[in-house]
Amino acid sequence: MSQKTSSPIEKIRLEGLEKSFGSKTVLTGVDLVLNKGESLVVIGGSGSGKSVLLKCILGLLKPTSGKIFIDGKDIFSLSTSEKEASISQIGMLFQGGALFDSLKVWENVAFGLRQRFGTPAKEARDIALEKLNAVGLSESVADLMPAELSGGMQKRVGLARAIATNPAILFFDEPTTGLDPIMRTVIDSLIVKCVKDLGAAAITITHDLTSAYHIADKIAMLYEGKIIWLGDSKGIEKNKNPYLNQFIHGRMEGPIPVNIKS
Amino acid sequence: MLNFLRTIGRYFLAFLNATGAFFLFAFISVSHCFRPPFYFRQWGRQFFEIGYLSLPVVGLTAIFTGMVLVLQSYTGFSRFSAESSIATVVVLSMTRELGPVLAGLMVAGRIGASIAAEIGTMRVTEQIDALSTLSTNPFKYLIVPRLWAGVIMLPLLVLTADAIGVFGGYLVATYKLGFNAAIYINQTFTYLKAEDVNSGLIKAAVFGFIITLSGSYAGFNSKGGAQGVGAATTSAVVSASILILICNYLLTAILFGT
Repeated sequence: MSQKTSSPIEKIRLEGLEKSFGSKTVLTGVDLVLNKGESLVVIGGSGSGKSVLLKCILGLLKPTSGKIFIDGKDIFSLSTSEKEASISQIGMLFQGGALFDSLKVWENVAFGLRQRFGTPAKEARDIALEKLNAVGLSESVADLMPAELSGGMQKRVGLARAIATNPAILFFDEPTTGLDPIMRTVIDSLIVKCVKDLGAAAITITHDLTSAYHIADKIAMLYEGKIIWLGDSKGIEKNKNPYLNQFIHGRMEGPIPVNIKS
Repeated sequence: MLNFLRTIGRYFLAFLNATGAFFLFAFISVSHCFRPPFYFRQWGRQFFEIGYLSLPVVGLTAIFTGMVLVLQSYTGFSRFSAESSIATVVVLSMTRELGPVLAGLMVAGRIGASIAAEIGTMRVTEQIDALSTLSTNPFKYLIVPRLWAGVIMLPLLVLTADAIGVFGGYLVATYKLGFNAAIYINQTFTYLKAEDVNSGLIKAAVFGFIITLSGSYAGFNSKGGAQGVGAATTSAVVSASILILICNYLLTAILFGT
Protein backbone atom coordinates (compact mmCIF):
# COMPACT_ATOMS: atom_id res chain seq x y z
CA MET A 1 0.00 0.00 0.00
CA SER A 2 1.37 3.36 -1.02
CA GLN A 3 -1.13 5.33 0.99
CA LYS A 4 0.02 7.00 4.15
CA THR A 5 -1.18 5.49 7.38
CA SER A 6 -2.82 8.74 8.33
CA SER A 7 -5.28 8.64 5.44
CA PRO A 8 -7.94 6.00 5.91
CA ILE A 9 -7.76 2.94 3.68
CA GLU A 10 -11.13 2.07 2.25
CA LYS A 11 -12.10 -1.60 2.61
CA ILE A 12 -15.74 -1.66 1.63
CA ARG A 13 -17.87 0.81 -0.27
CA LEU A 14 -21.55 0.34 -1.07
CA GLU A 15 -23.26 2.49 -3.68
CA GLY A 16 -27.02 2.56 -4.03
CA LEU A 17 -27.43 -1.03 -2.92
CA GLU A 18 -30.97 -2.27 -3.51
CA LYS A 19 -32.44 -5.67 -2.84
CA SER A 20 -35.97 -6.90 -3.26
CA PHE A 21 -37.56 -10.31 -2.89
CA GLY A 22 -40.38 -10.53 -5.40
CA SER A 23 -42.48 -7.44 -4.80
CA LYS A 24 -41.06 -6.85 -1.32
CA THR A 25 -38.24 -4.34 -1.24
CA VAL A 26 -35.85 -4.73 1.65
CA LEU A 27 -32.95 -2.42 0.79
CA THR A 28 -33.81 0.78 -1.04
CA GLY A 29 -30.44 2.29 -1.77
CA VAL A 30 -27.73 1.86 0.85
CA ASP A 31 -24.57 3.95 0.60
CA LEU A 32 -21.83 3.12 3.04
CA VAL A 33 -18.05 3.33 3.41
CA LEU A 34 -16.02 1.23 5.79
CA ASN A 35 -12.35 1.98 6.39
CA LYS A 36 -9.56 -0.21 7.66
CA GLY A 37 -9.47 -0.48 11.45
CA GLU A 38 -12.96 0.94 11.77
CA SER A 39 -15.75 -0.74 13.70
CA LEU A 40 -19.20 0.08 12.43
CA VAL A 41 -22.38 -1.03 14.13
CA VAL A 42 -25.57 -1.11 12.12
CA ILE A 43 -28.68 -0.84 14.26
CA GLY A 44 -32.29 -1.11 13.19
CA GLY A 45 -35.48 -2.89 14.01
CA SER A 46 -36.20 -6.50 13.22
CA GLY A 47 -36.81 -6.95 9.52
CA SER A 48 -35.11 -3.69 8.57
CA GLY A 49 -32.74 -5.55 6.25
CA LYS A 50 -29.62 -5.70 8.40
CA SER A 51 -28.88 -9.35 7.69
CA VAL A 52 -29.72 -8.92 4.01
CA LEU A 53 -27.14 -6.14 3.85
CA LEU A 54 -24.37 -8.41 5.13
CA LYS A 55 -25.47 -11.30 2.93
CA CYS A 56 -25.31 -9.09 -0.16
CA ILE A 57 -21.73 -8.12 0.63
CA LEU A 58 -20.83 -11.76 1.29
CA GLY A 59 -22.20 -12.74 -2.12
CA LEU A 60 -24.83 -15.00 -0.55
CA LEU A 61 -27.56 -12.83 -2.02
CA LYS A 62 -27.44 -11.01 -5.32
CA PRO A 63 -28.47 -7.37 -5.00
CA THR A 64 -31.19 -6.13 -7.35
CA SER A 65 -29.06 -3.13 -8.21
CA GLY A 66 -26.20 -1.07 -6.86
CA LYS A 67 -22.49 -1.62 -6.52
CA ILE A 68 -20.25 -3.23 -3.93
CA PHE A 69 -16.55 -2.37 -3.82
CA ILE A 70 -14.09 -4.38 -1.76
CA ASP A 71 -10.58 -2.86 -1.68
CA GLY A 72 -11.76 -0.46 -4.35
CA LYS A 73 -12.74 -3.22 -6.78
CA ASP A 74 -16.31 -3.57 -7.99
CA ILE A 75 -16.94 -7.22 -7.13
CA PHE A 76 -19.56 -7.71 -9.83
CA SER A 77 -17.07 -6.79 -12.54
CA LEU A 78 -14.53 -9.36 -11.32
CA SER A 79 -14.14 -12.93 -12.53
CA THR A 80 -15.59 -15.64 -10.31
CA SER A 81 -12.22 -16.58 -8.80
CA GLU A 82 -11.21 -12.93 -8.18
CA LYS A 83 -14.59 -12.32 -6.59
CA GLU A 84 -14.18 -15.37 -4.36
CA ALA A 85 -10.72 -14.15 -3.35
CA SER A 86 -12.15 -10.72 -2.43
CA ILE A 87 -14.98 -12.19 -0.41
CA SER A 88 -12.80 -14.82 1.29
CA GLN A 89 -11.05 -12.08 3.26
CA ILE A 90 -14.26 -11.57 5.20
CA GLY A 91 -14.73 -13.54 8.41
CA MET A 92 -18.32 -13.92 9.53
CA LEU A 93 -19.89 -14.76 12.87
CA PHE A 94 -23.42 -16.00 12.27
CA GLN A 95 -26.34 -15.29 14.54
CA GLY A 96 -26.79 -18.86 15.76
CA GLY A 97 -23.11 -19.64 15.45
CA ALA A 98 -23.82 -21.84 12.38
CA LEU A 99 -21.22 -24.35 13.53
CA PHE A 100 -21.04 -27.52 11.44
CA ASP A 101 -22.63 -30.04 13.77
CA SER A 102 -21.01 -33.04 12.09
CA LEU A 103 -17.50 -31.73 12.82
CA LYS A 104 -15.60 -31.40 16.08
CA VAL A 105 -15.00 -27.97 17.58
CA TRP A 106 -11.40 -27.72 16.40
CA GLU A 107 -12.35 -28.92 12.92
CA ASN A 108 -14.93 -26.16 12.80
CA VAL A 109 -12.35 -23.54 13.73
CA ALA A 110 -9.77 -24.97 11.32
CA PHE A 111 -12.25 -25.35 8.47
CA GLY A 112 -11.43 -22.11 6.67
CA LEU A 113 -7.69 -22.66 7.01
CA ARG A 114 -7.89 -26.13 5.54
CA GLN A 115 -10.22 -25.13 2.71
CA ARG A 116 -8.61 -21.88 1.74
CA PHE A 117 -4.93 -22.50 2.33
CA GLY A 118 -4.84 -26.31 2.44
CA THR A 119 -3.14 -26.15 5.83
CA PRO A 120 -2.14 -29.66 7.00
CA ALA A 121 -4.32 -31.09 9.77
CA LYS A 122 -1.74 -30.93 12.55
CA GLU A 123 -0.77 -27.33 11.90
CA ALA A 124 -4.41 -26.31 11.45
CA ARG A 125 -5.23 -27.92 14.80
CA ASP A 126 -2.49 -25.91 16.51
CA ILE A 127 -3.82 -22.68 15.03
CA ALA A 128 -7.35 -23.69 16.01
CA LEU A 129 -6.26 -24.26 19.62
CA GLU A 130 -4.54 -20.90 19.65
CA LYS A 131 -7.69 -19.18 18.35
CA LEU A 132 -9.84 -21.04 20.87
CA ASN A 133 -7.51 -19.75 23.52
CA ALA A 134 -7.90 -16.22 22.21
CA VAL A 135 -11.66 -16.44 22.80
CA GLY A 136 -11.17 -17.87 26.27
CA LEU A 137 -11.80 -21.54 25.58
CA SER A 138 -9.44 -24.23 26.81
CA GLU A 139 -8.03 -27.14 24.84
CA SER A 140 -10.49 -29.50 26.48
CA VAL A 141 -13.36 -28.31 24.26
CA ALA A 142 -11.42 -28.87 21.03
CA ASP A 143 -12.49 -32.49 20.62
CA LEU A 144 -16.13 -32.00 21.64
CA MET A 145 -18.99 -31.76 19.19
CA PRO A 146 -20.70 -28.33 18.90
CA ALA A 147 -23.96 -29.75 20.30
CA GLU A 148 -22.20 -30.48 23.58
CA LEU A 149 -21.46 -26.77 24.17
CA SER A 150 -23.60 -24.07 25.76
CA GLY A 151 -24.93 -21.18 23.68
CA GLY A 152 -22.24 -18.78 24.85
CA MET A 153 -19.49 -21.28 24.13
CA GLN A 154 -20.89 -21.94 20.65
CA LYS A 155 -20.80 -18.21 19.97
CA ARG A 156 -17.17 -18.12 21.06
CA VAL A 157 -16.30 -21.07 18.84
CA GLY A 158 -18.07 -19.24 16.00
CA LEU A 159 -15.94 -16.21 16.77
CA ALA A 160 -12.77 -18.32 16.80
CA ARG A 161 -13.77 -19.75 13.42
CA ALA A 162 -14.42 -16.28 12.02
CA ILE A 163 -10.97 -15.01 13.02
CA ALA A 164 -9.06 -18.24 12.22
CA THR A 165 -7.78 -17.07 8.84
CA ASN A 166 -6.87 -13.61 10.18
CA PRO A 167 -9.41 -11.89 7.93
CA ALA A 168 -9.10 -8.23 7.01
CA ILE A 169 -12.83 -7.72 7.39
CA LEU A 170 -15.12 -9.12 10.09
CA PHE A 171 -18.91 -9.32 10.12
CA PHE A 172 -20.92 -10.05 13.25
CA ASP A 173 -24.61 -10.88 12.93
CA GLU A 174 -26.37 -10.18 16.23
CA PRO A 175 -23.47 -11.55 18.27
CA THR A 176 -25.13 -11.16 21.67
CA THR A 177 -28.68 -12.28 20.92
CA GLY A 178 -29.87 -14.96 23.30
CA LEU A 179 -27.00 -14.67 25.77
CA ASP A 180 -27.05 -13.75 29.43
CA PRO A 181 -25.85 -10.22 30.38
CA ILE A 182 -22.43 -11.35 31.57
CA MET A 183 -21.80 -13.46 28.49
CA ARG A 184 -22.86 -10.48 26.38
CA THR A 185 -20.12 -8.39 27.91
CA VAL A 186 -17.66 -11.23 27.38
CA ILE A 187 -18.56 -11.52 23.68
CA ASP A 188 -18.52 -7.73 23.22
CA SER A 189 -15.06 -7.49 24.77
CA LEU A 190 -13.82 -10.37 22.66
CA ILE A 191 -15.12 -8.70 19.51
CA VAL A 192 -13.39 -5.44 20.42
CA LYS A 193 -10.18 -7.32 21.17
CA CYS A 194 -10.26 -9.43 18.00
CA VAL A 195 -10.99 -6.47 15.76
CA LYS A 196 -8.15 -4.51 17.36
CA ASP A 197 -5.67 -7.41 17.26
CA LEU A 198 -6.32 -8.08 13.59
CA GLY A 199 -6.54 -4.41 12.69
CA ALA A 200 -9.63 -5.45 10.78
CA ALA A 201 -12.57 -3.47 9.54
CA ALA A 202 -15.73 -4.69 11.21
CA ILE A 203 -19.46 -4.45 10.68
CA THR A 204 -21.70 -5.60 13.50
CA ILE A 205 -25.44 -5.72 13.21
CA THR A 206 -27.43 -5.73 16.39
CA HIS A 207 -30.36 -4.21 18.17
CA ASP A 208 -28.63 -4.57 21.51
CA LEU A 209 -27.62 -0.98 22.24
CA THR A 210 -25.37 -1.75 25.18
CA SER A 211 -23.27 -3.89 22.95
CA ALA A 212 -23.47 -1.33 20.15
CA TYR A 213 -21.94 1.37 22.40
CA HIS A 214 -19.29 -1.10 23.51
CA ILE A 215 -18.22 -2.23 20.05
CA ALA A 216 -18.78 0.74 17.81
CA ASP A 217 -16.58 3.57 16.56
CA LYS A 218 -19.44 4.57 14.32
CA ILE A 219 -23.11 3.73 14.37
CA ALA A 220 -25.43 3.58 11.38
CA MET A 221 -29.16 3.24 11.64
CA LEU A 222 -31.01 1.29 8.99
CA TYR A 223 -34.67 2.13 8.55
CA GLU A 224 -36.94 1.14 5.66
CA GLY A 225 -34.01 -0.08 3.63
CA LYS A 226 -31.93 3.08 3.90
CA ILE A 227 -29.27 4.37 6.22
CA ILE A 228 -31.04 7.28 7.83
CA TRP A 229 -28.34 8.23 10.30
CA LEU A 230 -24.60 7.65 10.50
CA GLY A 231 -22.29 9.08 13.08
CA ASP A 232 -19.99 8.76 16.01
CA SER A 233 -21.13 6.44 18.77
CA LYS A 234 -20.27 9.03 21.44
CA GLY A 235 -23.12 11.28 22.45
CA ILE A 236 -25.65 9.31 20.47
CA GLU A 237 -28.08 9.28 23.41
CA LYS A 238 -28.49 13.04 23.12
CA ASN A 239 -28.93 13.04 19.35
CA LYS A 240 -32.00 14.89 18.13
CA ASN A 241 -32.76 12.73 15.08
CA PRO A 242 -36.33 11.64 15.86
CA TYR A 243 -35.98 8.13 14.41
CA LEU A 244 -32.68 7.46 16.15
CA ASN A 245 -33.96 8.97 19.37
CA GLN A 246 -37.07 6.83 19.39
CA PHE A 247 -35.11 3.67 18.58
CA ILE A 248 -32.34 3.99 21.13
CA HIS A 249 -34.73 4.89 23.89
CA GLY A 250 -37.20 2.21 22.86
CA ARG A 251 -40.20 4.57 22.85
CA MET A 252 -43.49 3.56 21.33
CA GLU A 253 -44.28 7.17 20.35
CA GLY A 254 -42.41 8.69 17.46
CA PRO A 255 -42.00 8.59 13.70
CA ILE A 256 -41.41 4.80 13.60
CA PRO A 257 -44.82 3.14 13.52
CA VAL A 258 -45.32 0.27 15.95
CA ASN A 259 -47.17 -2.60 14.37
CA ILE A 260 -49.12 -4.02 17.25
CA LYS A 261 -52.80 -4.75 16.96
CA SER A 262 -54.55 -3.51 20.08
CA MET B 1 -64.82 -17.60 -15.29
CA LEU B 2 -61.92 -15.18 -15.51
CA ASN B 3 -61.05 -15.92 -11.91
CA PHE B 4 -61.05 -19.61 -12.65
CA LEU B 5 -58.67 -19.14 -15.59
CA ARG B 6 -56.49 -16.89 -13.49
CA THR B 7 -56.18 -19.60 -10.85
CA ILE B 8 -55.26 -22.21 -13.45
CA GLY B 9 -52.73 -19.83 -14.95
CA ARG B 10 -51.18 -19.10 -11.58
CA TYR B 11 -50.78 -22.79 -10.76
CA PHE B 12 -49.41 -23.50 -14.22
CA LEU B 13 -46.84 -20.71 -13.92
CA ALA B 14 -45.88 -21.89 -10.43
CA PHE B 15 -45.46 -25.39 -11.82
CA LEU B 16 -43.24 -24.18 -14.66
CA ASN B 17 -41.27 -22.09 -12.21
CA ALA B 18 -40.67 -25.04 -9.91
CA THR B 19 -39.76 -27.36 -12.78
CA GLY B 20 -37.31 -24.82 -14.15
CA ALA B 21 -35.73 -24.31 -10.74
CA PHE B 22 -35.37 -28.08 -10.29
CA PHE B 23 -33.70 -28.60 -13.66
CA LEU B 24 -31.41 -25.62 -13.12
CA PHE B 25 -30.42 -27.06 -9.76
CA ALA B 26 -29.83 -30.48 -11.38
CA PHE B 27 -27.69 -28.89 -14.09
CA ILE B 28 -25.55 -26.94 -11.62
CA SER B 29 -25.15 -30.00 -9.39
CA VAL B 30 -24.09 -32.26 -12.24
CA SER B 31 -21.66 -29.69 -13.59
CA HIS B 32 -19.97 -29.60 -10.17
CA CYS B 33 -19.74 -33.41 -10.16
CA PHE B 34 -16.89 -33.36 -12.65
CA ARG B 35 -14.92 -30.33 -11.47
CA PRO B 36 -12.41 -30.41 -8.62
CA PRO B 37 -11.93 -29.92 -5.73
CA PHE B 38 -13.45 -33.22 -4.58
CA TYR B 39 -14.11 -33.73 -0.88
CA PHE B 40 -13.33 -37.44 -0.65
CA ARG B 41 -13.88 -37.63 3.09
CA GLN B 42 -17.45 -36.52 2.51
CA TRP B 43 -17.72 -39.06 -0.31
CA GLY B 44 -16.64 -41.83 2.04
CA ARG B 45 -19.21 -40.81 4.62
CA GLN B 46 -22.01 -40.77 2.04
CA PHE B 47 -20.97 -44.07 0.44
CA PHE B 48 -21.11 -45.63 3.88
CA GLU B 49 -24.43 -44.05 4.78
CA ILE B 50 -26.24 -44.57 1.49
CA GLY B 51 -24.71 -47.92 0.59
CA TYR B 52 -23.80 -49.87 3.67
CA LEU B 53 -26.42 -48.60 6.11
CA SER B 54 -29.21 -49.22 3.60
CA LEU B 55 -28.31 -52.91 3.31
CA PRO B 56 -30.63 -54.21 6.10
CA VAL B 57 -33.70 -52.42 4.75
CA VAL B 58 -33.04 -53.38 1.15
CA GLY B 59 -32.09 -56.95 2.09
CA LEU B 60 -35.26 -57.50 4.10
CA THR B 61 -37.41 -56.08 1.33
CA ALA B 62 -35.69 -58.31 -1.22
CA ILE B 63 -35.89 -61.57 0.70
CA PHE B 64 -39.60 -61.24 1.43
CA THR B 65 -40.33 -60.15 -2.12
CA GLY B 66 -38.53 -63.23 -3.49
CA MET B 67 -40.37 -65.47 -1.04
CA VAL B 68 -43.81 -64.13 -1.82
CA LEU B 69 -43.08 -64.18 -5.53
CA VAL B 70 -42.57 -67.94 -5.43
CA LEU B 71 -45.79 -68.53 -3.49
CA GLN B 72 -47.86 -66.34 -5.82
CA SER B 73 -46.46 -67.69 -9.05
CA TYR B 74 -46.82 -71.24 -7.75
CA THR B 75 -50.54 -70.62 -7.19
CA GLY B 76 -50.94 -69.51 -10.77
CA PHE B 77 -48.50 -71.78 -12.59
CA SER B 78 -49.58 -75.00 -10.89
CA ARG B 79 -53.02 -74.57 -12.46
CA PHE B 80 -51.58 -75.33 -15.88
CA SER B 81 -48.65 -77.48 -14.76
CA ALA B 82 -45.97 -74.89 -15.47
CA GLU B 83 -44.17 -75.16 -12.14
CA SER B 84 -40.85 -75.50 -13.93
CA SER B 85 -41.07 -71.84 -15.02
CA ILE B 86 -41.28 -70.48 -11.50
CA ALA B 87 -37.52 -70.12 -11.01
CA THR B 88 -37.23 -68.18 -14.28
CA VAL B 89 -40.13 -65.92 -13.42
CA VAL B 90 -38.66 -65.15 -10.01
CA VAL B 91 -35.20 -64.30 -11.24
CA LEU B 92 -36.42 -62.20 -14.17
CA SER B 93 -38.91 -60.24 -12.06
CA MET B 94 -36.31 -59.61 -9.39
CA THR B 95 -33.48 -58.47 -11.65
CA ARG B 96 -35.48 -56.55 -14.24
CA GLU B 97 -38.14 -54.94 -12.13
CA LEU B 98 -38.67 -55.59 -8.45
CA GLY B 99 -35.06 -55.35 -7.32
CA PRO B 100 -34.44 -51.85 -8.64
CA VAL B 101 -37.93 -50.44 -8.02
CA LEU B 102 -38.40 -51.74 -4.49
CA ALA B 103 -34.82 -50.97 -3.45
CA GLY B 104 -35.27 -47.52 -5.04
CA LEU B 105 -38.47 -46.83 -3.13
CA MET B 106 -37.05 -48.07 0.16
CA VAL B 107 -33.89 -46.02 -0.24
CA ALA B 108 -36.01 -43.01 -1.27
CA GLY B 109 -37.74 -43.23 2.09
CA ARG B 110 -34.58 -43.78 4.06
CA ILE B 111 -31.98 -41.68 2.28
CA GLY B 112 -34.09 -39.07 0.48
CA ALA B 113 -35.60 -38.07 3.81
CA SER B 114 -32.33 -37.98 5.69
CA ILE B 115 -30.58 -35.94 2.97
CA ALA B 116 -33.43 -33.42 2.90
CA ALA B 117 -33.51 -33.17 6.69
CA GLU B 118 -29.76 -32.79 7.06
CA ILE B 119 -29.24 -30.26 4.28
CA GLY B 120 -32.48 -28.50 5.24
CA THR B 121 -31.31 -28.07 8.83
CA MET B 122 -27.98 -26.79 7.58
CA ARG B 123 -29.87 -24.26 5.44
CA VAL B 124 -32.09 -22.92 8.22
CA THR B 125 -29.24 -22.74 10.75
CA GLU B 126 -27.11 -20.83 8.18
CA GLN B 127 -24.49 -23.60 7.99
CA ILE B 128 -24.69 -23.52 4.19
CA ASP B 129 -24.01 -19.78 4.22
CA ALA B 130 -21.15 -20.44 6.61
CA LEU B 131 -19.64 -22.92 4.13
CA SER B 132 -19.59 -20.24 1.45
CA THR B 133 -17.90 -17.72 3.74
CA LEU B 134 -15.23 -20.34 4.54
CA SER B 135 -14.17 -20.68 0.89
CA THR B 136 -16.15 -23.87 0.31
CA ASN B 137 -18.68 -24.38 -2.43
CA PRO B 138 -21.78 -25.99 -0.84
CA PHE B 139 -22.58 -27.86 -4.04
CA LYS B 140 -19.20 -29.53 -4.09
CA TYR B 141 -19.09 -30.17 -0.36
CA LEU B 142 -22.67 -31.28 0.28
CA ILE B 143 -24.37 -32.32 -2.93
CA VAL B 144 -21.69 -33.85 -5.18
CA PRO B 145 -20.70 -36.56 -2.64
CA ARG B 146 -24.33 -37.54 -2.22
CA LEU B 147 -25.03 -37.69 -5.95
CA TRP B 148 -22.00 -39.88 -6.63
CA ALA B 149 -22.84 -42.11 -3.69
CA GLY B 150 -26.39 -42.54 -5.00
CA VAL B 151 -25.34 -43.30 -8.58
CA ILE B 152 -22.65 -45.78 -7.53
CA MET B 153 -24.13 -47.42 -4.45
CA LEU B 154 -27.69 -48.00 -5.68
CA PRO B 155 -26.61 -50.47 -8.42
CA LEU B 156 -24.50 -52.32 -5.85
CA LEU B 157 -27.45 -52.43 -3.47
CA VAL B 158 -29.71 -53.70 -6.24
CA LEU B 159 -27.20 -56.40 -7.18
CA THR B 160 -27.25 -57.55 -3.57
CA ALA B 161 -31.05 -57.34 -3.51
CA ASP B 162 -31.26 -59.48 -6.66
CA ALA B 163 -29.16 -62.20 -5.06
CA ILE B 164 -31.02 -62.08 -1.76
CA GLY B 165 -34.41 -62.08 -3.49
CA VAL B 166 -33.55 -65.10 -5.61
CA PHE B 167 -32.24 -66.81 -2.50
CA GLY B 168 -35.51 -66.09 -0.68
CA GLY B 169 -37.41 -67.66 -3.55
CA TYR B 170 -35.12 -70.66 -3.46
CA LEU B 171 -35.75 -71.16 0.26
CA VAL B 172 -39.52 -71.16 -0.11
CA ALA B 173 -39.45 -73.30 -3.25
CA THR B 174 -37.23 -76.01 -1.80
CA TYR B 175 -38.29 -76.11 1.84
CA LYS B 176 -41.97 -75.26 1.58
CA LEU B 177 -43.01 -76.40 -1.88
CA GLY B 178 -40.66 -79.35 -2.17
CA PHE B 179 -38.75 -78.39 -5.31
CA ASN B 180 -35.48 -80.17 -6.01
CA ALA B 181 -32.70 -77.76 -5.07
CA ALA B 182 -30.34 -78.57 -7.96
CA ILE B 183 -33.07 -78.33 -10.57
CA TYR B 184 -34.39 -75.04 -9.14
CA ILE B 185 -30.93 -73.48 -9.26
CA ASN B 186 -30.36 -74.79 -12.73
CA GLN B 187 -33.67 -73.32 -13.93
CA THR B 188 -32.85 -70.03 -12.32
CA PHE B 189 -29.79 -69.54 -14.47
CA THR B 190 -30.84 -71.26 -17.72
CA TYR B 191 -32.85 -68.37 -19.15
CA LEU B 192 -31.15 -65.50 -17.32
CA LYS B 193 -29.19 -63.20 -19.62
CA ALA B 194 -26.66 -60.52 -18.72
CA GLU B 195 -28.96 -57.82 -20.12
CA ASP B 196 -31.63 -58.72 -17.56
CA VAL B 197 -29.29 -57.86 -14.73
CA ASN B 198 -27.74 -54.92 -16.55
CA SER B 199 -31.06 -53.27 -17.33
CA GLY B 200 -31.87 -53.43 -13.60
CA LEU B 201 -28.54 -51.89 -12.72
CA ILE B 202 -29.03 -49.04 -15.18
CA LYS B 203 -32.39 -48.34 -13.59
CA ALA B 204 -30.76 -48.45 -10.17
CA ALA B 205 -28.16 -45.84 -11.12
CA VAL B 206 -30.87 -43.52 -12.45
CA PHE B 207 -32.96 -44.04 -9.30
CA GLY B 208 -29.92 -43.32 -7.13
CA PHE B 209 -29.47 -40.03 -8.95
CA ILE B 210 -33.17 -39.16 -8.60
CA ILE B 211 -33.24 -39.93 -4.85
CA THR B 212 -30.14 -37.97 -3.91
CA LEU B 213 -31.00 -35.07 -6.21
CA SER B 214 -34.57 -34.75 -4.86
CA GLY B 215 -33.33 -34.87 -1.29
CA SER B 216 -30.62 -32.29 -1.94
CA TYR B 217 -32.96 -29.98 -3.85
CA ALA B 218 -35.66 -30.06 -1.18
CA GLY B 219 -33.16 -29.54 1.63
CA PHE B 220 -31.19 -26.83 -0.14
CA ASN B 221 -34.32 -24.77 -0.80
CA SER B 222 -36.03 -25.31 2.53
CA LYS B 223 -36.90 -22.29 4.59
CA GLY B 224 -38.52 -21.32 7.83
CA GLY B 225 -37.29 -23.44 10.71
CA ALA B 226 -38.46 -26.87 11.81
CA GLN B 227 -41.68 -26.73 9.82
CA GLY B 228 -39.79 -25.91 6.63
CA VAL B 229 -37.43 -28.81 7.15
CA GLY B 230 -40.40 -31.12 7.72
CA ALA B 231 -42.03 -29.96 4.50
CA ALA B 232 -38.75 -30.41 2.65
CA THR B 233 -38.42 -33.97 3.91
CA THR B 234 -41.93 -34.88 2.79
CA SER B 235 -41.50 -33.30 -0.61
CA ALA B 236 -38.16 -35.08 -1.11
CA VAL B 237 -39.64 -38.52 -0.47
CA VAL B 238 -42.82 -37.92 -2.44
CA SER B 239 -41.14 -36.42 -5.47
CA ALA B 240 -38.40 -39.06 -5.49
CA SER B 241 -40.95 -41.89 -5.33
CA ILE B 242 -43.10 -40.47 -8.10
CA LEU B 243 -40.10 -39.75 -10.32
CA ILE B 244 -38.84 -43.30 -9.74
CA LEU B 245 -42.14 -44.79 -10.89
CA ILE B 246 -42.31 -42.54 -13.96
CA CYS B 247 -38.68 -43.11 -14.92
CA ASN B 248 -39.12 -46.84 -14.34
CA TYR B 249 -41.72 -46.99 -17.08
CA LEU B 250 -39.70 -44.80 -19.44
CA LEU B 251 -36.53 -46.81 -18.88
CA THR B 252 -38.33 -50.12 -19.30
CA ALA B 253 -39.82 -48.88 -22.57
CA ILE B 254 -36.39 -47.79 -23.80
CA LEU B 255 -34.51 -50.87 -22.61
CA PHE B 256 -37.29 -53.17 -23.84
CA GLY B 257 -36.58 -52.24 -27.40
CA THR B 258 -32.96 -53.34 -27.29
